[in-house]
Amino acid sequence: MTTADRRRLRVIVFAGLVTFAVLLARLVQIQIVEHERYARGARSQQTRRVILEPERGRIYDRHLRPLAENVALSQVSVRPNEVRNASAARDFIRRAAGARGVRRFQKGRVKHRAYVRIATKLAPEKELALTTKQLPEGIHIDPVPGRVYPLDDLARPIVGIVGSEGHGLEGLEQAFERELQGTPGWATLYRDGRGTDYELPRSMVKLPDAGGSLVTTFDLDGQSIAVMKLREAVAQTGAKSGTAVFVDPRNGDVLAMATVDGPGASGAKHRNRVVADQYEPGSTFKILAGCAALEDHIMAPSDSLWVFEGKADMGGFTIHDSHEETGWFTMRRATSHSSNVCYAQIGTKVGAERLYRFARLFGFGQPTRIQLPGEAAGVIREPARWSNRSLATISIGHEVLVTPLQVVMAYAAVANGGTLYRPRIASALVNEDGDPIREYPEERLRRVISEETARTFRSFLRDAVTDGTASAAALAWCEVAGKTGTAQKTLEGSRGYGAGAYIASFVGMAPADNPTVVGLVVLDEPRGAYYGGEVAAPVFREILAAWAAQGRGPVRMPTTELVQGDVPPANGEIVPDVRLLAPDRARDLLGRYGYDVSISGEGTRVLAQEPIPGSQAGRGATISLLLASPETAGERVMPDLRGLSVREALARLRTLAIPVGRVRGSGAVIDQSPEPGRPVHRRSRAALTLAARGT
Amino acid sequence: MATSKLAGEIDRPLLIASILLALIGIVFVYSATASAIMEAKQGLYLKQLIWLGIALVGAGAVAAVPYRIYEGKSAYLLYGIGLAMLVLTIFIGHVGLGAQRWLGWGPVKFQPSELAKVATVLVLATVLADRKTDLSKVRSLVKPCLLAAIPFALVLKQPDLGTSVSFLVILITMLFWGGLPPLYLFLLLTPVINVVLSFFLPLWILFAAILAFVLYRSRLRLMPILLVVALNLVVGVVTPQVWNHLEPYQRQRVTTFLDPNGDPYGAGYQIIQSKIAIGSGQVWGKGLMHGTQKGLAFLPEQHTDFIFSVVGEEAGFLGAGLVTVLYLTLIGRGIKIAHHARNRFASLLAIGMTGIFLYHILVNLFMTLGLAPVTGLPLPLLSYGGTSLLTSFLQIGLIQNVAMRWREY
Repeated sequence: MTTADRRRLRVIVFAGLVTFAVLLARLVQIQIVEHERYARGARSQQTRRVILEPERGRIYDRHLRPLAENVALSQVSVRPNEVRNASAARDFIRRAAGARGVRRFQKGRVKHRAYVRIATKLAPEKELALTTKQLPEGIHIDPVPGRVYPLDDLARPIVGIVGSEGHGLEGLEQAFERELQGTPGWATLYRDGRGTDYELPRSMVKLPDAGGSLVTTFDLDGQSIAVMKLREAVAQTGAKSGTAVFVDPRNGDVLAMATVDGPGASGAKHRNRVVADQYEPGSTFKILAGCAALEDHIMAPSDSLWVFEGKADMGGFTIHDSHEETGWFTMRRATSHSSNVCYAQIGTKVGAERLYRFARLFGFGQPTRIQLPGEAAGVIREPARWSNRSLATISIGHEVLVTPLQVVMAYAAVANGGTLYRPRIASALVNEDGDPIREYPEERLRRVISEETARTFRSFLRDAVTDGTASAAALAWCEVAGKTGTAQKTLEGSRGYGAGAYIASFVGMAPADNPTVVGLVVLDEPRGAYYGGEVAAPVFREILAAWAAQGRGPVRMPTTELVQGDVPPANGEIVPDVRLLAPDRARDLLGRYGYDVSISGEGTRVLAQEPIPGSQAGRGATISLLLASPETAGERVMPDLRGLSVREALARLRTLAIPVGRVRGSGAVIDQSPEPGRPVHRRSRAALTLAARGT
Repeated sequence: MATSKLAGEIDRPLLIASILLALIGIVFVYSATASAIMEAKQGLYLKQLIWLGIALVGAGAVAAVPYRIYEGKSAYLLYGIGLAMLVLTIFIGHVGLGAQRWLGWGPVKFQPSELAKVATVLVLATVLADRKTDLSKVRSLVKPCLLAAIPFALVLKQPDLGTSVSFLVILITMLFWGGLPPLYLFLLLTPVINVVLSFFLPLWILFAAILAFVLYRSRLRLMPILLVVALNLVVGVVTPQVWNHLEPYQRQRVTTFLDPNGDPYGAGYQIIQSKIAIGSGQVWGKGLMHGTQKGLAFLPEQHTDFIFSVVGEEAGFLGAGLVTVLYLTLIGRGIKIAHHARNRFASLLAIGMTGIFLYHILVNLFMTLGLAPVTGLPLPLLSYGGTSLLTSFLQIGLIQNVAMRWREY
């Protein structure tokens, strides 16, 4: 062996060793020194976290009837490259979404979009029409979560709505957003190198917590009756708007809040005027001077005041009564006949400081802290800023601004024996099983007058109905007490009072001796008759009568009366929207309106109704309901996922809020549990078995 | 009697290392193709197992006959067949991955370049072992260079840059082993160095200066000096032209290698994914069948070119290190056998075969570890591929042939 050979060997061995040393060093670098960096890289590209949206809590009335419900609505989309028959697809899209949908489809085709959304949250009738037909190739109908309000416009100002982002925008939906929205969950999905396929291991899912459902104090019957009666009144009187609010004086529960806008109404649509509007109350405000005088023994009920020709010179200005009577008025008579002259004098006796103190005590000039957005505080100035007229005019309900809710809560204090309550709108938050998560107890604020004063003033109010300005509020079968109010409106933009523009109101309670309900009806600028006793008091009576006739209202009607009927004529109630409700719920709701129900089709929710919602139908009319097939039903029915990819299947389950427990294998779904069409129980999870396509 | 005596001379470390590598390969081919995403390829490990059987029989057969059979005319015959098949491939070959590399007959597909490599080693060993060849004379370099250049050009035409370069590596290795003076080797390599450095002007100037100095001191005659200078000039002029005429994928591979993160979803994807797979395997690995990079198909070509990434991910540093050491064993034994062989042809044969292995192993491992551009060369013995496995074992068989008969002159 030559030295050259040996040198060559050394060179080649050295070269080999060096290269292998480089290889091993590189392995050490990647796998040991920098392993964390690469492991993180692997994790971040292989896993993806998706947010699982929680189901929003429902809103119920006091008897757990739905005011806001969750359902699956339909979304129509088209995948232009799957379309075989373009004209069939176009026809279908035109039926589903009109010309606008067709334009979207055409645009998507021109731009070679893979997916074009044609219509979201399709109306149930339309959906039915579409699902009965064979779907053209390339058109897809998928469920999307939707929220429906069975009372629709009837409760819209209170319940509010949910915006496209899923957050409550108005009313209860906004006020209880935090409680209703729930906590989102998440799932970690594995993603493959093509970014298309997901697998879901059981351990990596945190299911969303559904939002709590709100049990409100509302009475669905009372609410719809109040709105419908108020609508009639607004239509008949030509008023700009009307409000009505009913509370339970024993605990401050709000039973109904109605806002009806006439043609000339100011402010935003669906404004909840009960809390947001301020007005000059007029005579209903006499409660303050009256109660203050009685409570502090400035006057006794039988103390008399002299009235001459319905006029009183207050030193520099004159106060008028509506009737030019002359004679001695007891305080009782002054109240029941609503004498401005007397009350100006009573106010003077009470004095500015005391009147102001009682106004604050009764809750005027400050928000009631009801749990609704947009509440106005009202205005009552401090006595230091009063003019020489102020004491007299404030005593009879001018120079102040109040909200309907403030008035009704003040009268509720008189009704319940002297305690002012905070108005309560929600009584409890319950979970999916109906167990309470949180209770909202009634809230006594303070005692404002003694039991005796309250009893005495209640008797004044009863006299107003039996023998006074409010006789139109009387019911044959139940003693009603109340106070009318007729206030001349201030001209907008000036200090004077306008001629012919009045706010007519009536605030009443029943039964008079031990009231279970206090209600206020306000009509803004009725045309023609404008006295509260003429236009507002009858509305109060009719609401109470119709409500009692339902059998579940705050005052009960004797059975004999039910038969004879102080029940309003069945000239035409407004048919509520029961679409998307479960059939038994729909039947229950319609039954309360006195309708017969005929059901056709099979399924778990109402897809269409005839007559349509909002139309008028007499008591005893038959409402036909058409039920949806299980696949498109709003109740949680397991969809048929077989043949879908994992991603499609998961997306479908997500929109139906069906949690996924186990996914085995990969590829397309070949087996599923529960089986298609079977109901999915609240606590159960779906399981999917996958296999490669084509096997 | 003679057979058993010969069998006793089989190089055991080489035998064990090669079979172990092949078995490891089959295990990881199984793992790489087991995930659902690879469903169409799930039976491949069985095919590979059958190929291993064939390959072992083939290795035994080529080892059994005395290596002298391969010397001379039979080497030229094999070489001729190899070239013919390469030519044939250009005209009727199957297209795979953008290149015509395959010859097929029914279900059997065959990569002629594999045969051509073995045949080239045989002819070069024949030529260099010939007493008439004197490597101290420049003239005697012409024949070996031509013999390597023809298959190089034919494979380059396919186009398969990675494999074609292996012919040059064979040539250089065997010339070096055959006793070519280091100066000649350097001069022979200058055009290659020239190509690489032509991308970096300052280094190229330095290189040109060194070359001039070496030529000045070389005491060579004028003709060879002119030849070297001319060759370098031609390469210098041609390289930019060739660069511009390279297939886009080839150019991309080079630029990607230089900056893999520049285009993480395009060209750099494979290298990044491979490094993530190996790095996330850490010391112990994720366990066989549990590789997520592999299972979710982030790894490209995971049962062929990037099988080492699967090993790194699932078996960790332990597995990857073991495989590396096994390859080191294989190369080391090859060199040892070549060194011990008393016959010049046998020694050259062994070193040529070892050179092919070394080249493929290094190119593939450097690629999967992000140290070299993506070339598309499989990892010998480990990657899925019947022809590749068979050829590898034929090479092993030839090396063992030499090992068994090391005493013979």
